[in-house]
Amino acid sequence: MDSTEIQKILDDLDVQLSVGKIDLPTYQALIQKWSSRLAGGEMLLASSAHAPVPNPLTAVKAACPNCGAPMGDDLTPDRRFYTCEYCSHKFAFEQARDQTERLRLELQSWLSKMVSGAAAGGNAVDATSRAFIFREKLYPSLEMEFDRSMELLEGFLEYPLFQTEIVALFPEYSSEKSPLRAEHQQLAPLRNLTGKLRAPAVREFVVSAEDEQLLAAMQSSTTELIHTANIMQQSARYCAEGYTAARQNLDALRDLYQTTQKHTAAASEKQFLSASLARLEGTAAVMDVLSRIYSSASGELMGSAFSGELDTAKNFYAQALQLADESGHSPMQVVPWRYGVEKEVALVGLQTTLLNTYDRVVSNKGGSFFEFQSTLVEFARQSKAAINDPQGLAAVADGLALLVEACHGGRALPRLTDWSWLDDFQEKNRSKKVMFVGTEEQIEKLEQYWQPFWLASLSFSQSEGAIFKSGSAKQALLLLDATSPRQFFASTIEDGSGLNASLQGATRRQVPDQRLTLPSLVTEASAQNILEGYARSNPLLRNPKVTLRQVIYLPTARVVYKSKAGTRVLVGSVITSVNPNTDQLRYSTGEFVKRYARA
Amino acid sequence: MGLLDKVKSATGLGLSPAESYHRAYEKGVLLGKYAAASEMFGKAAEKFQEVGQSEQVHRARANEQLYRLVATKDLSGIDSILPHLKNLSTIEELGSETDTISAAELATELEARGLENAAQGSKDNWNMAQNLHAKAADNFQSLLKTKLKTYKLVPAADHNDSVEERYFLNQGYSSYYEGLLVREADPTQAAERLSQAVLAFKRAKDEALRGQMDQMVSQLRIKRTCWLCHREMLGQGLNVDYYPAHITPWGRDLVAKLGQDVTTVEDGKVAVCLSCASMIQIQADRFAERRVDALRQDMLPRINQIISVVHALTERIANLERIAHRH
Repeated sequence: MDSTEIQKILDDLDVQLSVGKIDLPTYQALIQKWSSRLAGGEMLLASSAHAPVPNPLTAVKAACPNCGAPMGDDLTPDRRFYTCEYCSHKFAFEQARDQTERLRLELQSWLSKMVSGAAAGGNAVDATSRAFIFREKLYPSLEMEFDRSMELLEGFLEYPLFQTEIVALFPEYSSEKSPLRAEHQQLAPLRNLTGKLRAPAVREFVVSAEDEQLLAAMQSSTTELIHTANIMQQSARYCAEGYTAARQNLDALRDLYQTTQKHTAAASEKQFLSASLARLEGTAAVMDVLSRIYSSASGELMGSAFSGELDTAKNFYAQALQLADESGHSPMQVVPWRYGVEKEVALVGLQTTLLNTYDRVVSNKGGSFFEFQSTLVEFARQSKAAINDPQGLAAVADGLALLVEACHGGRALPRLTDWSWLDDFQEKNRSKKVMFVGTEEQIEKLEQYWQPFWLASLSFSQSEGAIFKSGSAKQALLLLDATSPRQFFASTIEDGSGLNASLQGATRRQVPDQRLTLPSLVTEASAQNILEGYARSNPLLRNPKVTLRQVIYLPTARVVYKSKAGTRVLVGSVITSVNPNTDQLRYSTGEFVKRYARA
Repeated sequence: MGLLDKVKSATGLGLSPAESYHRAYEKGVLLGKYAAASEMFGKAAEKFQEVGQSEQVHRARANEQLYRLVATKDLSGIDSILPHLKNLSTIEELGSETDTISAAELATELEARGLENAAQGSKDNWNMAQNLHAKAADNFQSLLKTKLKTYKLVPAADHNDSVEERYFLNQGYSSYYEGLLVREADPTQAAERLSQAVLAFKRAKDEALRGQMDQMVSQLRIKRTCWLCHREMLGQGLNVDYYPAHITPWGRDLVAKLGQDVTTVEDGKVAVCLSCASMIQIQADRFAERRVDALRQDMLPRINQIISVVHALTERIANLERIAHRH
């Protein structure tokens, strides 16, 4: 009979005692018998290392000294080193033994404070007294320890369970600030508490099913925290092993939720656990995708191959959210949990976009997914684009993919292909010497590119007539420079003007030329807000109504004039309100396009 | 348009009811003169009344009141708009003569605004405020697929962008007042209601309110053992709070050694429950009052004596002044 079977018998004896099937003397006799057989195994670690023989009742089950998860393998002095399957922590046998012994002594000391003589384990106490001691002494102390530990870790539900490499750009979506990671040292009291909750000496005082349930609920919460912390940490390693270890914890968490669900009576809690299980299914699907991506040595993937699994994950998340909303479970749990799930949904959305855009971007020149990710991060950094959330990054990635496709000729863009203004613009702005006075400038450099603008229709009313004033409804177009998310450049293009007619025609899509096209960095929602604010701030535009249409690309030029006095730069376009500070954006877009589009 | 027409349009004289109605747009709304527009709609309504066009009467009256609301921003005028809207299926969009919107949807939004306004005025009556915000949220819920119709020209203090934001804002306030109502009887339930408020304010994109609710939930969830009665109390700032006390490191260690709640001691303060703290406070006040009374009793004869000495001295000085004045 191996130690696992003996352990099972010992656990059964705990249960039989707790439900009153056997009395205490019988229990103690049997415990002594089976514990002696287990000597040398995990229950009596200290004895196997020639330490003083501890009371089997105050023995502590062996756990990983790092994360506190139960050990899958039995600890024996024959094996020097172990690796925790949940947190990948490598540790020596002695380390685990010392940790277990420390916890055992702590337990013994705590019990002696709580119940004088109980730690010895030999006192025959009747069931009524045991129940009384549990409710009046042990449970309040355990509950207080539990509450105080949880207080410090409160808020962990608000964070996503997993982390992707690119999410480091958005601290709010990263698990880095989760108390389970940021306050990792606070997990130590929980690990100690878990040891107490599992100890036979504590179980000895659990007589009624009700008390058993109280203890089980507490144990379930501590175990949940241990595995959740592991998932967060392991997924933040950004490697296949990390994601595999995280998956292991997910499985443990799933078992825990299923067991809890079986024993819980409240329908609302049952349904919330179903929601939590559906969420785990979603997270597991994502972990599998990430694990496969990071298993690839070359990093060259078929992004679309993962879209099915990611769609499955999204479906699980949707199901989880619906189940939780309809559960009627405590909002104190459901609300922060919902935030965590919503963040995961946003991360899955970003991952899906990244994989799809990766396929589009590398179709011409190839490249690894990891390189694509880092190029994108580099683009975000260099261009100083105001990307605040995963949706924003997904929009930028999509915009860049569009430009790369346009460079290949595979995508037409709505453009105003009129460069006729350029010669006039250059000449009109060039300083000239008149009658030997002034500075003669030369054009040193001319850079032409396509700048994105949000195009919107504007309806408003205006005053007409000199003597008999009356109001009339008008139409116009609005343009907002889409390269500048922080400082806005907007223009009104009046109805009937030549430019208005040209812009109406610019909605036709055309295959771009070799000139650089810049991506849009302003989202649709913020373009709508900015243009509404702009229209309202103009006192001449009464009753304004803005209807956003699309992004169009306008011809823009950067002219460098040179003279004896030095150089100066002028940026011009078909309109005057244009963002002149696109040096960073042009450089980073150029780098991106050079990498993925041009030979 | 001939000169006569221009004069008629400028003065409003000799216009048909429909022309008067159009004039309200031409000379009022489209020029941004909303108070004038309101008056002109009123006159158009009278003309429609004379010719017995009841639907147009309601339309003109509704616009009269709507543009008065736009001009004055006084939400108490909402009640006078609603009866007219109930008789219309569509009405012109605010600021436009040609674009129309559903009159029923506009009425629902205005009702919601009225409820919001009443709730704002009932902040001290939590029950009423909760009720009004809940009803406003219900109204906005039925409009979730539409756009806000009045908030551009009659903006609220904030959240003027979407029906969704207004819905969640009202829902958040409703949950917040629910939490306040049950806080003293059941801190756990109060924390649950406030958690709902957290979610609603987040959905309303109001980070400030969300932060406030978060803070309240965190406080309500804190348990501390009372230093005096050793009861575990729930809800910091409500049932338990920290009070200044002297405690040495030895005393602090003792708490830990005894396996007691170490969080009950914090930087020269100890956690004491409301009952213990208020009992001490009330008793201390009573002792202080008694001591003050006793002191007053002791001091009163001496004070009276001093007062009569002061009186005598004042009289002597006055006499001396009179003598000095004579000389």
